[in-house]
Amino acid sequence: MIDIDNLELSITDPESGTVKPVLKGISLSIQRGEAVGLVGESGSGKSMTLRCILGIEPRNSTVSGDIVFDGENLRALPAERMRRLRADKIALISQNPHAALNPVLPIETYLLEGMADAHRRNAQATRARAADMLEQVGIRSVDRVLKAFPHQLSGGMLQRVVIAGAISGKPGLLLADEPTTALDVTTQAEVAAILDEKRRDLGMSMIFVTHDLDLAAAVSDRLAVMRHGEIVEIGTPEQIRDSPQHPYTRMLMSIRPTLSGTPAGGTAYDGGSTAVGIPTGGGTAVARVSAAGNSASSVAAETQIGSTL
Amino acid sequence: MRFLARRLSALVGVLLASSMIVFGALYLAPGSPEQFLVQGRTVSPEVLAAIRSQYSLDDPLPIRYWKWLSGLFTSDLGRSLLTQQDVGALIASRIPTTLSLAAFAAVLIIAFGVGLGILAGTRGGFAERIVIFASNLGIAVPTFFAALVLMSVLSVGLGWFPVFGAGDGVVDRIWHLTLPALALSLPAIAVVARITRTAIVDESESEHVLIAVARGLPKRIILWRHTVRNSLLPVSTAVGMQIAGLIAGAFVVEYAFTLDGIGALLVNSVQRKDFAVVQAIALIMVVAFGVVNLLVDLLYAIIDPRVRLEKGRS
Repeated sequence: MIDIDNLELSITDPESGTVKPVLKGISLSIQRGEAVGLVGESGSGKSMTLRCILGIEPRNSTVSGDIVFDGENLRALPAERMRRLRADKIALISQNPHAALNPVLPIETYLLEGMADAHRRNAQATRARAADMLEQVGIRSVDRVLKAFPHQLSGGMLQRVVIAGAISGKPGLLLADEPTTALDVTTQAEVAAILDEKRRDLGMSMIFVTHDLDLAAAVSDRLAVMRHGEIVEIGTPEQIRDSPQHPYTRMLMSIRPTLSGTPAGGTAYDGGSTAVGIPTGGGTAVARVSAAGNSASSVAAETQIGSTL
Repeated sequence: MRFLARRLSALVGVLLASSMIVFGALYLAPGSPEQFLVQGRTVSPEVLAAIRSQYSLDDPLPIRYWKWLSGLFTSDLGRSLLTQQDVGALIASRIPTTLSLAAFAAVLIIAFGVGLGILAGTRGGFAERIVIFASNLGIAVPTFFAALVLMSVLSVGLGWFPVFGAGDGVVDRIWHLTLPALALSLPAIAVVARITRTAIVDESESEHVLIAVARGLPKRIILWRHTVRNSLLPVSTAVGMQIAGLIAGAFVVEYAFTLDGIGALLVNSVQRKDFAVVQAIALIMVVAFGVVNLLVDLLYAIIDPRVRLEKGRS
């Protein structure tokens, strides 16, 4: 389905001219219909990997390596071909839906502009399909939502709209970039469940980027643990849970809150200079990690909601 | 509709307050009207008193203000102290020139200011550098100097345009007003072009535009629907401010091109302390400012639903 081979990305500061490596040789293969969770701390390069797949990495960045999707190397495609792939085959669900939608246009425009181009149907049929998609992601007052503007809807509602738009073209690959992190705790689970269900129904592949190891394990067939621009470990959720190989993975497991209140793993990983934080979402992260009774101080210090895209 | 009502009542309040300021300010200025009327001659106190009562100058300020204000609603702006002409008629004869000059300049500002800004913001490269350079030049050059340069090159040198007069009939008037409107609008075009460019560059870096690219939307839609349209919010404010200031700024150009608009009339009246005329013109400028700002607010509401649908707050 998609093969990422030795992907490297570095960003050059336009003023100082210093080059900062962000991705240091990412290699990852994903089968058709498979979901891979990309787990790691802020700045580990998870989101940047997704941006490279879509070809929307920041300016001043240098990218090398190949990303082969259905036999085409995305890094070497003409612009118009790449645009068609984004419209038809690869869909992105980003972290904050309020930032992702144009604030001055109604939801209807958002959905129709994505679908009209992807399917070239007539307007009536496209609108009916948009309404149908909204129903499929559990939105009841479809007409009201279609006419609403983004600021009139809650984050959870809006993220459902984004999911509806993303799956409407039945893309082969879903890229979910912390799709629940910006939502409040009660809607996180609902949105994650809808995303998981729709992906399985439609047989789509998915890369699911998150801080949250448990969430990643719940929606993914395999987990890839990222740190400092590298994938340090990859395996099934069971493998990662039962026998983490890399010290960083063991540390992630150890600070993971458990229901029993006892730490799941051994000693904290000495990660060197950077503090490590794995917020499980919302303001509860600190409390939950503390409840796990482990050395939570470094976690609390770095606990932050959201990551840099 | 509630939005419109709120804005309208705010406008009325602003106009009322500024009419007081306009009315009061002239009485704070040095020199009194009756002293001007006697023009330095020594006159008996009886004559002075007669003049004062003829112009109701002995009434308390609030009463005079009220008389003036109620006169406005019956389109009675008083009489010129100088010529005894009806101020309303005097201004009515002058205002078409100024209005057509300001309207022409407004069209130029929207067409070239916004147009060049969009060009610079979306194309980048050489076009962007040229527009930035020209914009710096346009902001730096004062209107009267631009007027002189335009006159000497396009009128005297090339003979394409007339040097003075407002012209009769539509085509002739446009021909006559082209250079004045150009001189009047140049600094505003420069400011608007620069603000438009910045707004577009900012908008094109916003997350929703990045996401629109990631969704594979056609370039044309990303550019016009998501980038340019959204960037029009700050642009409409800037355009409104510039257009509202045109009538106030017109006097320089009217003087330079010998146009008999209200700007030139204002300068003459101020010099001769013709209070009634100055007050009336100052009020017209305030009204023009208020109305243009109201239009900008309405435009805002059309562009941005968050303004339109906002409840309670103004």
